[in-house]
Amino acid sequence: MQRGLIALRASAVRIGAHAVVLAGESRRGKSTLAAALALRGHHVLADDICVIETATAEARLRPLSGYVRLWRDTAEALGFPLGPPCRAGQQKYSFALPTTTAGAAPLPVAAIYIMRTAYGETVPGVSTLDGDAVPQLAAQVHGRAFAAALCDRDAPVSQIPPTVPVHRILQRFVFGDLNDIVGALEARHGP
Amino acid sequence: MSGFVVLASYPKSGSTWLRAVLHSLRDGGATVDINRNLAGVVAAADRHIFDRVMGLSASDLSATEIAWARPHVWRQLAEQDAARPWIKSHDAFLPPYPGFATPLPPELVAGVIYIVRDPRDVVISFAHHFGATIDAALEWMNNTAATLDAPAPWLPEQLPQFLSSWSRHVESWLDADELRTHVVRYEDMQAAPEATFAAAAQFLGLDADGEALQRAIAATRFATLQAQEERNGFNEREPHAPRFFRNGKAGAWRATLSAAQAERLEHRHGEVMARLGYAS
Repeated sequence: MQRGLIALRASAVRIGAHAVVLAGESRRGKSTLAAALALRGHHVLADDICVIETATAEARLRPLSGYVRLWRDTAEALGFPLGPPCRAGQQKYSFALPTTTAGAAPLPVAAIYIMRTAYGETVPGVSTLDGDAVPQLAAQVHGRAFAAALCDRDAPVSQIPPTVPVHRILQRFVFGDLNDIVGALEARHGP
Repeated sequence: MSGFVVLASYPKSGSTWLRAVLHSLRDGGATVDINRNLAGVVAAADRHIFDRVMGLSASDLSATEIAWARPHVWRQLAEQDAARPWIKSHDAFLPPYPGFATPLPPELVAGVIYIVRDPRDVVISFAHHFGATIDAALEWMNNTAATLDAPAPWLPEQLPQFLSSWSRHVESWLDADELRTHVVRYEDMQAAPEATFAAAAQFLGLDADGEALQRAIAATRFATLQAQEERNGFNEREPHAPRFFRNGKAGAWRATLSAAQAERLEHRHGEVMARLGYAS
């Protein structure tokens, strides 16, 4: 925070000239969506944790890597060839993508999406966030427990300029929603 | 109660129904939305609570690392937060590995409601819930090493939970001298709902005046919950299970299990079944 940086539990992908941030808890599909966007030719900028610079007037995403980590079922469904797992005894695999963004210049953040699971009557897809974005975004801060112990729970995200839109992505645990969501993001942010 | 209240059960034993009744009772007998957090209960194996409290992602950890850390999560929560939510647990009250602690530290537990159901009915519900054959479910219930949500090619919604066999699961909770435990039988929830839920409410220190209790029982009838799932879905349904609230009738095993299947369960679990009044 003191360095003007916020780490979110999020993956990030470049769509057009901007970074699109995909935030969410474990198992909400951040890496899966990033991988699906990579298959469409978009560059993955970060996986699982992303760093946003907030020292300037516009939020900028600092590219970290060009890889994604996927569970075996997802990797197989998306057609990624399996290598050795990230850790022995775990069926999670790391995939280096042909495009590398590590060390590249930071990109302006087009939007932050909080990923959730769609249950019951809720309609999957990209939509407006229900309620105040600040606490919902604060819940996505990496190391939130420490941040909350040191200061106001919402303080880290209050540094993100309010001009950055925050939306939500709802999806079920089926790949059927994935293509629709990829399409919706491309439509919003450019192919 | 100053510590955590635990609603413990072997899977498919009726804890969701009990939670629905308690939720309604807290609201004076109001209708319940099954997709809301029933009675504010949190799951002992909730990976998001683990991630939030530990400040790292359980999805990056091995099963043994998670098992080591789980008691610390509850200790940290107890220190950090004065709130004491009720905890739903399918874990056996056993160390998941030799030398490890139980996932819930007993000194933090104010009381336990242990929900138990005839294992011959559990096996049918278990098979439907997990998309398995009855014989496969039966193997699970006999397996002293059984673990729910064990490491898989996908990331399970919940952390690994050591179940052991059905008998060991029951005994682990009922014979834990350090716990204050109230046993609720699924069959009694059906046959004598007022007396059974009133006793559970009293154990939990809840007001359960007659009218509110009757309203809560009416609002959470099996058919009502089933219709709600039909209409809106249910977030605790496994993806391959057509429905969560399927049949629910006590004694359905008589028309479903083969004599050999029933005999296998009775042979393996007869002693504990007799203890709970489930005659062969």
